Amino acid sequence: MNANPLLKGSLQTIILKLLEDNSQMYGYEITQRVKEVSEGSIVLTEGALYPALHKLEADGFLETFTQVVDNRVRKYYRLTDAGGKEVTSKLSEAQAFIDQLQTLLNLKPATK
Amino acid sequence: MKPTEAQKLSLQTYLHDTLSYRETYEEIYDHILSAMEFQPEGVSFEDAINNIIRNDFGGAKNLVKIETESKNAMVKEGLNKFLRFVTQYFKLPLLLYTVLATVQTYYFLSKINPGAIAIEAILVLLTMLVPCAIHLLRLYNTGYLLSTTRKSARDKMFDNLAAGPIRLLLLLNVWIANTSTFNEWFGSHPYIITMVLLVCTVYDLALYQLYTDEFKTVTEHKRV
Repeated sequence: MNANPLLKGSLQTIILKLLEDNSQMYGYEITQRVKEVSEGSIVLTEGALYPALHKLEADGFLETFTQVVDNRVRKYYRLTDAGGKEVTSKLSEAQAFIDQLQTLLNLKPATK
Repeated sequence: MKPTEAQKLSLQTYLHDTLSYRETYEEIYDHILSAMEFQPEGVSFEDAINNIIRNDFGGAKNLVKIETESKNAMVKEGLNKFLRFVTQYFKLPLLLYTVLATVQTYYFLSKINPGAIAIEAILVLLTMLVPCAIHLLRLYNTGYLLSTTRKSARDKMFDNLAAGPIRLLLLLNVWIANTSTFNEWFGSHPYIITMVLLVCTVYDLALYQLYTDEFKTVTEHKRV
């Protein structure tokens, strides 16, 4: 993922939201969708995606199934019921954080 | 860019040499081949692979790190599932069957004492033969359904789970041997035997569910 630590901390929220909107996705598809939605400004790199996906799977928020595509196994991820609830909670957290940040930053007028 | 069969084979060999587990191999192989489709035609196969591994995985060394993290997550997920399968027998609606089976077993053991040899045979069946059979079925299906003998990230976890009940059998036998004779003990402790049989049966059922769950996804992809 690109170097912005704020974005790094939001990776799980991004994945959960994408899966809520797309029902099922595979690893490469997620990286491309993030790039597309952010118009290239966010690129999932440095192996951040797969550990995050597997952690969400281990926590019971995602489940997987596989399909054979072009003679190779493709692993798809989809939200579990717990994952569906987690999306709402993560989005509320993200929204609250953005609101707090906005309030804090608005206290100090920009200096030139 | 569409790789040739020879290039795919060389990529497979490289990933087989780098990665240990079939789950991570399959996922990374699919990712690389998907990304290859969007590589410009002028780039050589080797450069394209290097670009993808560097950009998407942070370099070849990071592949091993990703695999370790993936393995830990898969083991955690497997254990959580096993625990869920166990606890479902103590929640409605399965709790009704559990209570019914427990009461019936207790009644049978307290009214008709089947004798030490019969009880030991049932315990050996539940703690050794059934877990071993499930373990062997899993190994057989890995080769039959997945056409591979490569290691799985879940192998060690499954080995440990299958070997777990044998320890219970050994402990129980050591305990009985130190307190009384087997015939006398089995005749006078129907409630303990009932509890042991209940624990072992639930454990075996949960292990079987864990095994079928692993191959459920495979069946799904066999259908496509």
